[in-house]
Amino acid sequence: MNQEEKPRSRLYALKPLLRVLPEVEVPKRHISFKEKFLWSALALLLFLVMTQVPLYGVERQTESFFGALRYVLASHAGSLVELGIGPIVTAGIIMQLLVGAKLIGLDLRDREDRSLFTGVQKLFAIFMALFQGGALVMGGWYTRGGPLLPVETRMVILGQLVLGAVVVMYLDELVSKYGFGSGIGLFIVGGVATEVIWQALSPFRYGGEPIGAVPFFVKTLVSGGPLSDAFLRGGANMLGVIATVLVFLLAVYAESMRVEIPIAYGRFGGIRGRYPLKFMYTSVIPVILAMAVFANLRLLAYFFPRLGFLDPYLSAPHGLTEVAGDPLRALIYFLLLVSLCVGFSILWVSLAGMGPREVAESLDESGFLIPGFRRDVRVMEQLLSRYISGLTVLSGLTVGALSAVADFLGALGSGTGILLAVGITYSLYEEIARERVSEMFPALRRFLGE
Amino acid sequence: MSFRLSEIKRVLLVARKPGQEEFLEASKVTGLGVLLIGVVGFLIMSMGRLILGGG
Repeated sequence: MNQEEKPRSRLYALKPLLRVLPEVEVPKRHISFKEKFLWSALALLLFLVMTQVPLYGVERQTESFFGALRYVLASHAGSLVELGIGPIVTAGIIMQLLVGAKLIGLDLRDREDRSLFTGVQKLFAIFMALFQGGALVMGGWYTRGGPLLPVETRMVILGQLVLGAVVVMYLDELVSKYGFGSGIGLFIVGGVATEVIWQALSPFRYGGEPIGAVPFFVKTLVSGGPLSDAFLRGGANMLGVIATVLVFLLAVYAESMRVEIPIAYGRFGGIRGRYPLKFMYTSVIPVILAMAVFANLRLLAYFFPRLGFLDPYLSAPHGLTEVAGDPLRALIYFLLLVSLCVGFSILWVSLAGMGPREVAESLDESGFLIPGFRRDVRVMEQLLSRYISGLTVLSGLTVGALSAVADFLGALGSGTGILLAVGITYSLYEEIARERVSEMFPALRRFLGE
Repeated sequence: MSFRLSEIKRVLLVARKPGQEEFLEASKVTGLGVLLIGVVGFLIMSMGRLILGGG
């Protein structure tokens, strides 16, 4: 370690501003299982209610600016949460990149620097909400083609969009500190799951026909209409229901695949075994990040029409007919998404402390060692790095490919949406299972690293 | 980190498919979780629709 006085980052100039920004306090005690559950449920409920609160000053919106990206962004057209988690995720990516590229001199291992980092990130998220909301409002999205709304009305709309984003930001922080997983994950699952059930089962009507695929199917059966309608109509159809189940099973399968590293446990490595790592090592995070990039590019293209040529490649063709209609677009989208996912997977491993060294340290602390070697972190790190680097690439590759293919199949709530819902719920399940064990056997808590 | 094809091959060699029981358990748990959240969301969305009226 170098002993020199490290120059303080210029970001410390923002400190007075950050002081007025509220923060959810870090819990000082162990949060019980029940309490975590309650906070998570409360945040999710609040979020779901917000998806139903229409923006004051705009006419009812039926079309989403973000198209199929809305599922990943947890965005709901014309509501307080139109921007969804977009601003938080975008701010997160950019800040992490700035730190990673050493463009801002913050050391995230330093406590003071880290607290400044989270503060600035929040400020930046609010700024992103202003930018994203601004692009929608100023670009005239809410009166498509019609005359622009008066400036005051547009400001009121922008204010609501930013307010919604700020509430989502604090709910996310609340869940991250007092609940299970993250608010971001929870809100994505909330939006996708709601959409799947809605499109499958909704008895409400649109244009005289039931919205839900199943009610429409039943109606067709009863009235003796052509069954092909129920499977192929525009809007939610039975083919979509089948695709949903298919994508669901595919996603669960991928999530429960493991890579087993030969390892030993106990004094002198008495017990030989295998240490399982998830095959989907970075899970669905690369897809969330990639989609956030797409959403921002789409906003930029909306604001700067010269970038409009990008638009077709920023969202997946929905359903096999669209893929067959323009296979080149599907291919470009596929390659673009997969490469972004590989990049973000590599980035995430280094950011989230999932690299060989960190894993080696935590395994070493728990008494694991490599068969045939003395107990040594460096040996462990070397062995792990032989697996983890390949795994990181493969994980990003797989999740990107799965996401694209899942969308091509045309599932309800979008294939990517289902993939994310499964990935996030699966991680929640793992976290809850760990939590239950540590609550029943408090001695294990130390072992699990709490 | 280094990224070579041989590394990816090595990972594929130690990859393990989920057992049937494991797969069923994971499907059940995730499926139930998603359904539960979906039904809550569905109810809230239906209420929103009833209050605001729907097009």
